[in-house]
Amino acid sequence: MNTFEAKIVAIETHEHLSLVDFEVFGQTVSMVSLGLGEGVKVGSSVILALNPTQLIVAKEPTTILSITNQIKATVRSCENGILLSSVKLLVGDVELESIITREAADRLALKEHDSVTVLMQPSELSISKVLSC
Amino acid sequence: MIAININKKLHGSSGAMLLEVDLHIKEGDFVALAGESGSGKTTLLRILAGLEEAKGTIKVADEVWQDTKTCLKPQSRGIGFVFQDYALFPNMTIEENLLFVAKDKALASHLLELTGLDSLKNRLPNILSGGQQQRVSLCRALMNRPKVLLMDEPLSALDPAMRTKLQHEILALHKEFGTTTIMVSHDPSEIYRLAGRVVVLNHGSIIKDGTPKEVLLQTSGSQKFTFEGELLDLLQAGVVNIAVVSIGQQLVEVVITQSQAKSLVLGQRVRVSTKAFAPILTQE
Repeated sequence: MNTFEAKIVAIETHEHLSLVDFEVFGQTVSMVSLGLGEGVKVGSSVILALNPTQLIVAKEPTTILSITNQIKATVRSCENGILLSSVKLLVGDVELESIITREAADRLALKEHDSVTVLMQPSELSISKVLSC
Repeated sequence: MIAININKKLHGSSGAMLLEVDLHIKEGDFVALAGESGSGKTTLLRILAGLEEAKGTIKVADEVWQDTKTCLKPQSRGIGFVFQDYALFPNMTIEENLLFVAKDKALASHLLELTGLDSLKNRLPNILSGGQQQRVSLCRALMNRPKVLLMDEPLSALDPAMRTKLQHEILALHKEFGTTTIMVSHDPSEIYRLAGRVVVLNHGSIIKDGTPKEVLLQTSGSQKFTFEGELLDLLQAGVVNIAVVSIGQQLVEVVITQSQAKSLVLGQRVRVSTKAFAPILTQE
């Protein structure tokens, strides 16, 4: 499981939905959510979670996809299985993992020290813990 | 090999029903009998034990327990039976309860040691907790080194922690004695942990027969994470809708499209599913 600390900088709520902006890795990342839990307010520090199977890796930033959350990262390692690959990535000093198909890993020719962009769907990010209010 | 081919007319709460079972069980297997109440599970167990009559045949290895000519008495069948309500003799000590079945002191003390009851062997059952009494009942059922161990929801009266503990002991005893075991259970985690095979009865007939994973894992195509529930509410949320679904004792919310929302009716049964890749597992 990928987890990393983030600070809430904005919350917009409409009907039952909320769009929460976080400051993390020196940039803004958005999450869309149904009702928000206790302590989730502007200024709170939280731990965000993202399943490794839902972390997307691109060779470079892209404007042709609908995914707004794009963060620069460095490949730490790429472990290839027969069908799937586990890519370990570094964003600052935070390690993230992405599980992608072996075919995708080969096509991107991922190797240590490569600069890449990781993409996170706002609907797949979640708050796993509120640290402080 | 146990070969069961029996039938019996039953009169349950939902009217007359024919219990019709053709089942072969390999020696040493641990088989769970599942199914809704009134499906005939307990009756089948009692027929195997010789406590109830039925038409048909029951053969265990080379021995005929029942056919058109023979019907062995319960005490001649070489069975152990564990009931939900322990059924211990209240006026006998723990050890005497065991020795009543067979005068084998060595086996009694071995069983009591395996289940951590040796220090209580001279006490009467009524001072024991439910979990301890059921352990005694289990030990007693193994005293005559039965060919078949029959258990009717043996752990359903116990709290979850005690249940898990006894499941491990049942498994340990099954490994040591290798007794062919048939257990009625409703609890999927219990069945998964203990049994190598599950037979599901419905209205007197076998409707499913396979490994616990084959039978119990709720799937919907490639979606391995599936729950059935009741649609309680549909909420408008901008361009999407939120379906509120009750699953077991819990409520969950699922985001759906407007077009799907239009096709749903409150109160209907729905299935909530996702692939095994998506859910996040956290420790409590």
